[in-house]
Amino acid sequence: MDILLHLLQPAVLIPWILAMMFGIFAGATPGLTATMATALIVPITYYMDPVAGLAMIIGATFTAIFAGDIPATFLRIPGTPASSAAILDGFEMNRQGKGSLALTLDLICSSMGGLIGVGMLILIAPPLAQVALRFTNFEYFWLGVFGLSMSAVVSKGNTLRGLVAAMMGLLIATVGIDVISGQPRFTFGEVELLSGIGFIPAMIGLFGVSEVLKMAAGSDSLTAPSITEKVRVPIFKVLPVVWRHKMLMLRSAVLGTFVGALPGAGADIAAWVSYGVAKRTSKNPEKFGTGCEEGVIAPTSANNAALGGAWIPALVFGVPGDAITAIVVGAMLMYGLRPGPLIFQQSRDIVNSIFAIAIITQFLLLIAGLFGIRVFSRILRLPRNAVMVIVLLFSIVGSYALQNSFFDVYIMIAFGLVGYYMEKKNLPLAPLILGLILGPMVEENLRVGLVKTHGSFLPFVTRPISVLLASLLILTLFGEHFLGFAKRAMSRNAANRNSDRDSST
Amino acid sequence: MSNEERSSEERKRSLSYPLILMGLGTWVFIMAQQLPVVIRGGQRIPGPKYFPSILSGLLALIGLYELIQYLRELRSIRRDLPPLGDRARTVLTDPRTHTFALILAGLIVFVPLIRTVGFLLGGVLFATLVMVRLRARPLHAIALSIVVTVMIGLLFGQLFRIPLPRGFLGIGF
Repeated sequence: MDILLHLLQPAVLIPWILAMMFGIFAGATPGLTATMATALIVPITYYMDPVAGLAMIIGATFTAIFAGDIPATFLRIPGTPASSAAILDGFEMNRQGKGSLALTLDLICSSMGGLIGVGMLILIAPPLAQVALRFTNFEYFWLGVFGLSMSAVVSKGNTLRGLVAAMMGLLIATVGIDVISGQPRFTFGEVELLSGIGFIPAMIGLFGVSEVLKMAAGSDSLTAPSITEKVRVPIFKVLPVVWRHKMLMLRSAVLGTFVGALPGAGADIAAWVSYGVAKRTSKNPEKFGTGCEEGVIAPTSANNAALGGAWIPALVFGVPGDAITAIVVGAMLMYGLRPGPLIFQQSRDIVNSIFAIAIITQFLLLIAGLFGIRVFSRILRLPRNAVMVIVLLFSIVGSYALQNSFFDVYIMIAFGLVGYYMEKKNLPLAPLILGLILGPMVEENLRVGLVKTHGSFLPFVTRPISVLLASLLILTLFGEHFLGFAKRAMSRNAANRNSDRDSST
Repeated sequence: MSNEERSSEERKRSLSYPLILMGLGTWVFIMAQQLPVVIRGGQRIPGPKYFPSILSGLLALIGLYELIQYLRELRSIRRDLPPLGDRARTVLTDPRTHTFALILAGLIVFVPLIRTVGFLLGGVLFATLVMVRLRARPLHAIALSIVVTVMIGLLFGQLFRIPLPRGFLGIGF
């Protein structure tokens, strides 16, 4: 009760809400990520009470992850990497005039997913962290490949083209300095390429600029508004949809929490894995990618739940689950707190405050999120030609803003062309971006694993968790073929039995 | 299958895609072989060329597979589409192609433009020209360009503390 009263004081509540508004802005602005939003908030909290500071950080983080889905749905530009899965069905729903429905559904699922993630954090943090710590190079390699294969299988176009896109992303990720040997690769003497191809400018170009180029070359009216639906979709109208898919939401959130608990995995992998599993287990998998509600519910529940999961190794072991919690762990050290097993004994009040903040944030997210949806949908009532120009300006500035580099703007333009071409050839874009993000993780773990085993692939296929992940990968890629083969074999057997029976009578 | 459907299918399964895959895969594979081999404790370990070689090799093989598929399907698709020259002429004279080219050129020119005159002025010029080309009324285009550019400048310059180029005129936030 004391904790609750402390949190509801104006000195804590007002900065908390302001930080959440900031999180909406940062998350919804292409070029600014949830990680950046968190990083920008931390210095402001330095002179504040630790609880108020943590409230601002946690509040900004959760809202930024949701807010990335706003431009993903309305403009097909993910505001954060974790929102790229939301494009598949969210943007399709927007094209059908149901953009704000998609986002309101997204908001509720983000909030509930976040609650489930935090709930799991509170209940099962220590044992879940034990499992997460059993992941070594071999398991991380398979996890990265599994995440990529999911995105390849569930995206539009055939699986082979999805895998090609993923491999291209992995290949592009090799540009720059090799982290293991320090050798520059494919830099052609350019200093800017030493740090590799930034995935933010690439993502903005692939999704945003390519969409603008597609609109310019398309036949839709350029003076018509970008969205024409009624803006206000009351939450109570969306709640029955959520209730109808409650098991999907619960499953996605649990999966998202587990993936988020794996250090280095993050909300983006959580969203894709969850989407892939939802599609595989759906009664109507063919509807995914065409604007179906399940395609929105699965990734959006998972990516917010992953944030709760990322706190598990951070609190229990001081090992951050993702880049955002890495910044938060740094902030906690700044406040004089020591994340790790002893924090539960030495700073139990702070831990309880963190739990309370995380829970209350999910409810405040509903208010902040609705505000964000309203603001952005008003902007999008402008004619399409105006929106295209706004998207272009934001894309250019967003790409430039990361490193104050014009080179990143050229990267964005190049990827805009690549994205335009890929869409023409029915190559999905999302696996390429995921390949770019996961490339370092996949390569590093493969090579370090091989160094440890002196070149032997055996541990990759004999360790229990590796076998599980590899089996899931094979099932993902070839499951439909196995099923089809089995069905054909069964129907052949049935036909043979029938003809035997007929000939005997 | 109608001509449109055939054209759509051919667009998706075209010669450029497998050729690009094979070309890219082969080129990257060759470039990767120039990267050094890493030896530790007398043993060769997976070095910087290991992963790119695997990926580029796979891409080249997939490109070859796609090329074979394309050549097989080419025989079965009836070739009553217009000649390539006519198709190219149609595309090049289409106003949508011009709009596409303008936006692309504008993006490429925009970078040196904002370096020279700054983001505010360059942004207003770029946005106005593109909007007018996209059939916005000139006065609306100018007004909206100024509003949007200033707002973006304020958002990034003041709120996020990310300095945007000011150019030789020194105009900015």
